[in-house]
Amino acid sequence: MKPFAIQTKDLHVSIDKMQVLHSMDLSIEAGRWTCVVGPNGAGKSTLLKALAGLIASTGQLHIQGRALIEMSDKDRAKCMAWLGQQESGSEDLSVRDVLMLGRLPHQSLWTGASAQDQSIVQAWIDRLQLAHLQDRSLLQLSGGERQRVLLGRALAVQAPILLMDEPIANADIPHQSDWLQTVKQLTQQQTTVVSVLHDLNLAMRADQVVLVHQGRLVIQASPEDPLLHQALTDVFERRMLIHKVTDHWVVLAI
Amino acid sequence: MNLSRVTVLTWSLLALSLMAMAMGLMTGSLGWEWHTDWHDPIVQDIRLPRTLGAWLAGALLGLAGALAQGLFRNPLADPYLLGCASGASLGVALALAIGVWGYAEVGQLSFAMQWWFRLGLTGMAFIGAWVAVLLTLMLARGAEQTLRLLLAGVVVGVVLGAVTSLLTFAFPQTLPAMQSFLLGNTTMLSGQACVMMGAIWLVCLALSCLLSPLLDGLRLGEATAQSLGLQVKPLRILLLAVMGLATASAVAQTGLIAFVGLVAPHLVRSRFQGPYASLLVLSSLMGGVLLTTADVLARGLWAPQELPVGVLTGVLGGGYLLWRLHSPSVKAM
Amino acid sequence: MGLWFHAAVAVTVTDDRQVTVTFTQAPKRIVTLLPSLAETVCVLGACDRLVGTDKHANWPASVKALPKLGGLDDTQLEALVRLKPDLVLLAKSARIIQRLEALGIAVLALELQTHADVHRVLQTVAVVLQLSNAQDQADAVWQNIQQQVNQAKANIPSQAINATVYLEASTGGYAAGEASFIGEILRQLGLKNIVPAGMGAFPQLNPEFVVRANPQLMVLAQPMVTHLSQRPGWSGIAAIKNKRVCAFPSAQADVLVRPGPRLGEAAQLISDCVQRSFPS
Repeated sequence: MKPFAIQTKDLHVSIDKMQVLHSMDLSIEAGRWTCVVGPNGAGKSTLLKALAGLIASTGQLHIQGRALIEMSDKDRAKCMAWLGQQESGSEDLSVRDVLMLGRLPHQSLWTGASAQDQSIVQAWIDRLQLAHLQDRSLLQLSGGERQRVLLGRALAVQAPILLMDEPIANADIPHQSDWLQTVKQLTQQQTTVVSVLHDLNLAMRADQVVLVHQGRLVIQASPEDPLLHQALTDVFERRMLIHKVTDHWVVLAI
Repeated sequence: MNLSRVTVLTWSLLALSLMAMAMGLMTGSLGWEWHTDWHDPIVQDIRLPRTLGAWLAGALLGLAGALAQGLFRNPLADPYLLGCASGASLGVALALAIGVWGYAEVGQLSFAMQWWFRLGLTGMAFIGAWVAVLLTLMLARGAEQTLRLLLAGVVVGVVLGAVTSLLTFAFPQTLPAMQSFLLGNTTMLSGQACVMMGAIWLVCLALSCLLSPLLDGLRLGEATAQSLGLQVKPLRILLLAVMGLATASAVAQTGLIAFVGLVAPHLVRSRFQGPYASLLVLSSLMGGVLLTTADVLARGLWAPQELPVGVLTGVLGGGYLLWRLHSPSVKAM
Repeated sequence: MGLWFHAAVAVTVTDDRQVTVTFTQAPKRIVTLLPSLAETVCVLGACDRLVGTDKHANWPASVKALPKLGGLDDTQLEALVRLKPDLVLLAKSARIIQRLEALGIAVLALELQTHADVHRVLQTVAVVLQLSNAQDQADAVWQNIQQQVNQAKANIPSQAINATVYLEASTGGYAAGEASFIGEILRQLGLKNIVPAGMGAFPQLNPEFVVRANPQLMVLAQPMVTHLSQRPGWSGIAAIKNKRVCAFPSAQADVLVRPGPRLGEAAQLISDCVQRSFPS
């Protein structure tokens, strides 16, 4: 059995004195791609932030066997890379500089960027086909290109666990395909990927699907599992059909 | 490569600084003097500390401005946002009012008020600026939320400003000195002031460059910065403290000089993008150049009378911003 | 002083706005909004007719007990009207003039900027007060002032004649030039101001200018100006090296900065200090 990259027991999260996540017991396997799905407002982003240690939670939370609260900020940052939904920030950074920021967890205050950092960033620029854009500022990019750049930043951290919240919301089909490829390569290299996706078709390509509804864990199962299909249909109020089309599960709204 | 760009810009700004300072040494009560006697005590005792002091005050303000714009992630932020300016004004008004009251009531200063003498206007301005920053931080309950911090700064500014107005109303003899402070001038800068500003500048520059990864991380958003392992809360408070220290030191010595903190980072960013550490250093150098130039003009345009240097920075800075607003450049602020 | 029975005499006066005001009776309830105008009224012996002054008036001592009505810019209109004045004396720059005239109160705006002004205002006020032999009384007061000035001048030791002098008029480094009121006094005393008339009355100078001029005497008309020797480059100035700096406490400083009928006193104050600074 593969070890668990992330394990939670009885995880609760409150924001402004309101309970947002209730009693979640999750076990996310290492080296696999797990996708978190659910209706709007279910608490998916909150869950991801809680796992990343960005918001406070009660209950047990273990990352690679270690309790999160016992990890230093640097250790946590080297262990888990987090890519959130588009936050407001300054747009005048160049693409290259954005990716370089991903190397921050590996740099101390005294040393700056090392040659190794530069080469890692260069490798990701090439892999994500950003070479022709690398000196442009974020402002000058299209939505899809910007997302690829931000994804590159998260990948540049080279953490064993990658948490992504809606990483391809604006991507066109070819880039969605590229993203799927990248995730596959990452899991093959034993990186754990946890993503929140609203597109159920893409979500059903994952190794594991976690369904969240109203702040609670409904089910965690493989996409093949009929119990998952039943749960999905229930949660989404029976307004969908799930069919297998040439080896891939397809979810259709009706 | 960006690194060489930084080097080029740094050297150019240093060269400009030297030129501006040279002009400063040649400008005095007789206007421009091409053949200045370097051994003249006037040049050594008055012009040298003034010119150097103007550069250092500008450097402090430029640094503080870059810090403000990075911490608040807003290109219109300036170092006076946390109520520093009103706090310093109140400190000065209080010092002047105590002086007037002391002389009026007692005839000569009692021993208890000797402390006021030693502290002087500079000390009171510095303390006032710090009290205002502390009040703002307390009111905003820490530096967590940017919006709350900004609002608290506005509130503190307004309230302290009202108290200052009350003091100048009650003691109208303080008005000319207050006006002088509010418009800024380098008239009384001494060698001691330069040493103090220089030391503080080096400390602030070193600290902020060390902590600049926070500002880089913040450019992607607070949550992302945190996920990159940056301890956002404590680092932010530290940087705010550095910003407050730099601003308070400059304001205490030269009064409220407008626009240098706002415009210096803008000018730098229009020529250079990159990691914040470089931005901080370049903004600081640019601030030095700006204020020295304004000071030279303030002293030279109407010699032997002096214009308040804050008026010139307002005109030059405001003019630059106006030009930016109307220029068809693609790069946004 | 008892009641004086005057024959009803109509007196017409033109003030410095070129506005003519006619008084059918001598004014008995006078409000002044400038300390020097209160001083003028008192120096002409009509202090008992004052019913209210501005907040800065403090001479003579009896004036301090009168109701205070703010200043030229922030006059307390209600309090003023309640005093039922039949004459208000103020400067041209007072903001309240229109309101007062609209309320039917007699207003005279008088400018006191130069020595000549002092003489002229003395005459105008004497006429308005309907003093017996108004012109002569005013002239007598003026002669008295002139005598004080001449006495002060005579007391200046010979080595101090034509000494160069720097006078700082207020906090913030404003110097008093030849064109100012106190500059005139210095000139009458035979002292040379380092700030020529061309620079205006109160220029804000580059401290280098003062160092270059190297005045032999410094007069501080503001009690709060301190630590002159600590100003960069100033410790070498002759006046500071030889300790010829005249500083005055607040009550005396008032006399120096106010253009008014106490200019004789101001001259004497300066002269006394000069005597102390240049001991023979």
